[in-house]
Amino acid sequence: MNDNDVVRLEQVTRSYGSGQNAVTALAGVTVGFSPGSFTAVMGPSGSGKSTLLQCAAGLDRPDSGRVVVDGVDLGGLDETALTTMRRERLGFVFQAFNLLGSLTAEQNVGLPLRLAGRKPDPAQVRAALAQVGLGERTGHLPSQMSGGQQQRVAIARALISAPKVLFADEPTGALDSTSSREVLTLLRSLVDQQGQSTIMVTHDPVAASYADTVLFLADGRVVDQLDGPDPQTVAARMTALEGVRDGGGPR
Amino acid sequence: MNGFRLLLPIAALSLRRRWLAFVGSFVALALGVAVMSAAGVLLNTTMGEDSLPGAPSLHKLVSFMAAMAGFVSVFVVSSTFAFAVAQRRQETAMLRAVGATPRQVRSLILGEALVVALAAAVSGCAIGLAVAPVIASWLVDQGAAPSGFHSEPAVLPLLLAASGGLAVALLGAYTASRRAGRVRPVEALNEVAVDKKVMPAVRWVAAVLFLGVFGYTLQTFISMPASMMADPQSRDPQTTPQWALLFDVMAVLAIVLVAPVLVPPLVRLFTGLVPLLPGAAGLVARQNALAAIRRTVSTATPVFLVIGLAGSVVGGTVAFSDAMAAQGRAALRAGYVVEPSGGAPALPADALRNLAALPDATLTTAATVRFDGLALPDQRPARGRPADLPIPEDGLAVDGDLRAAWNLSTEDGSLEDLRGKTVAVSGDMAKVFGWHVGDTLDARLADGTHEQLRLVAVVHHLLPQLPEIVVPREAAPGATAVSVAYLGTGAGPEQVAAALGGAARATAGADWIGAHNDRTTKNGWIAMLAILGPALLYALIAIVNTMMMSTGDRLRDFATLRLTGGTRRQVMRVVAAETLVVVATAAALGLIVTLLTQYATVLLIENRILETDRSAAFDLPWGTLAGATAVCLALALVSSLIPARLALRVRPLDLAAGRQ
Repeated sequence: MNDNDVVRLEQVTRSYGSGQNAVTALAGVTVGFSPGSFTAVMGPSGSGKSTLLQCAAGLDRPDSGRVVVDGVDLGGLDETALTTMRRERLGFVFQAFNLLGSLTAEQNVGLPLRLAGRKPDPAQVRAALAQVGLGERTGHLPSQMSGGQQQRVAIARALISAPKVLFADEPTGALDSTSSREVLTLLRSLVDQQGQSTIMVTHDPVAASYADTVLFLADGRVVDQLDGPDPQTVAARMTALEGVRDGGGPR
Repeated sequence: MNGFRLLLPIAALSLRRRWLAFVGSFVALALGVAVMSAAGVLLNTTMGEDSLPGAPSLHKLVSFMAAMAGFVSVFVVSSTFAFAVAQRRQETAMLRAVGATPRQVRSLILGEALVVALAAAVSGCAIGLAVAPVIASWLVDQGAAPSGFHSEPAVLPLLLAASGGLAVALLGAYTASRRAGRVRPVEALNEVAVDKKVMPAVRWVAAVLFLGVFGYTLQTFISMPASMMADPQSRDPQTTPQWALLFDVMAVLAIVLVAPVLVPPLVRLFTGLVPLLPGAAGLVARQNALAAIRRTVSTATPVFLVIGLAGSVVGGTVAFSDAMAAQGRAALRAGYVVEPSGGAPALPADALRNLAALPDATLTTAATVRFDGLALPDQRPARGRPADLPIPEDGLAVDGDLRAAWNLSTEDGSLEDLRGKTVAVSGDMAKVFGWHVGDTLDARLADGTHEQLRLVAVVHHLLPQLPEIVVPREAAPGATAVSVAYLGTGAGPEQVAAALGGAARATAGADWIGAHNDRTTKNGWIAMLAILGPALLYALIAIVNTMMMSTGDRLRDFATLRLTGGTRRQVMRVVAAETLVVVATAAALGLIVTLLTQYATVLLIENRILETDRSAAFDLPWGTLAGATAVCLALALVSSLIPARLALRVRPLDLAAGRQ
């Protein structure tokens, strides 16, 4: 826990449903992410990893606890202020629902600026696309691009507003292994070259191995942490987690 | 059909899951069948009543109503069903990916369409049966139908409406399902389709065909072959606006068919500046309208129908009415027209004597005379012509010089000779029966007497204010009740009124033409309302329907916009902007149709109503176009924004997940 943390969650709980059917997704999570770090969040399905990302990114509101992003307590913001905050300081890449099919790559990338009421500077948009290796595909529609290319457009769009944190939820979930590698290498180089703070949820040990740190979640709690991960170690920890899941993990 | 049976459970499941699209299809077809069956039941009731004398018959009116209802229903139903199928592109691709053959996909889609269409057709018949008496009593209230007219339920019109609706729905679904069946499995992964090849060759052929029919219909009405002229109702200028609906409909059809070609340039035109401006709503709206041309065309179609039909019909009716009034004013020579007051059958003789005594008075009086027949004697009609009047017709028996009352030009002969046992007829009538000046015609009058009348004049154009047959008083001795008197005098209005002493009513010539014209125009409006009302009402409901369906289609985009940092308000703005683009495009198409039909109207007026040396002004009904556009826009905005607002209640991520 550090005051410098770009994203900090304190005693965050979140459950869905009510009464008998209530499912606890986060059972009091406290975790901090330091600036310029690349963190992967892993865990068996139902472990709460996506909920953690959504609460950290202001897409969902915790039942209790605090979420502080870039020094701002998200609990104090209404829906519109939260949306503006996301638009100006955070970037998102999801597994799907990333691009508007009717907009060209260039228009999709400029969309956050337009939503902020500004006219995108074409040079800035092209630079963002060049940064993800798509400098020559600016006028293409998503349907004319491969899945990997679409995901890189989504990353360029996330980067256009120079976000403090980039959130990625299973960004390679719908991609083949070659495209996955391209996207992950791109994310890694953004961290290395520009100090882009990145938080990525994934279930793929290979994807997680691109991060500096891997957080493991089970039953709504952070149960383990691994620095300098490699695919084999990550896979082994995951297998162990699946096994001890019902008994709760070590803190 | 083994595959079909196996896929049936999937069809039922899908029906449960995609209820919004199916509700849309259901509403479109049920109401379409309802208007068709209501009009059909009325049509069936008026069957065989086509022999009423006078202006547009009830049967013709109801026929037009049924035709118009059918026309609009075909459009809305086929495009709604096609739209519902196109919406499921991704699901279809998914099915293909798991191994469904194109044929199986087609039968699945058709199976679902059949289930929905059957239910809708049955409900539509029930609604139609309930609505028919309401329309019947409205027609009676407006004087368009005799009192006592009521609808009689019948099975045949219901069956026809239901099966017609079913066929159109299935045809729409079938065309779309063929397209869906061709979807390649890999396309399941693409999120949004960009429509390609929206204008297949067959659509071009059909568009050109309808444009050709439009020209041909117009040409037919202008030249009016004798066979068509033989029906007094088709040559009557007062019913011309209703007939003009025929080519209005052809123009609408042609434009709808080429809409996929016209829509993109129109959208670009309306949103040309948008990419240069800041803000997201305009850009997203522009790109969506351009990428999903089929959806844009589907949502624009009912709006276009309302605006185009309203513009064409109102513009045409107003133009015809103005032309007939202008023609009447130019032709009426008499300063005053005197008519019985207070429902009296005739003008009193002493009032007429007083009028004749006014300074410089020229008085022409006329009595209505019913002709049961008018034909060449000895049953020897001209070759290929009708022998006799198809229905009894009212003529005018004139005492005095007709030329003092009306300035009428003749094609042949002279009105100067209209004295003694003679007759003058309209040019159309002479053409229909093959009569020539100098022929002797046998007239059968209502009292059973026969008169041998020599045809002395063929009047060039007939006027809506005059009957087609005019005889001198001597030719019809039985007609003594003077129903109208035309007066030319140096005396002022007070003197004329004083001479009448309240026994009759004198109206200045121009005013009389105006009032007469208002009466016929009002009847024309009632007829138009009866013909178009059900169809327009249905098209308005279809606007709501397609807008709601289209918004249901947009949840994924809403999710993306929200996740990219768009507020709810901004997403609403995108929806509003898209609706605006669609309505603006539809209004432009409506304007194009109105231009086309108004041009046709002017041609028709110049050739059928006005004297040859006069020309009609080309006017567009801007007020009506603007009003119709405003109504459509308000409806479309409400019906797209409300479902969008409801959908946006949930969190951005659930938007995409909770598609239904």
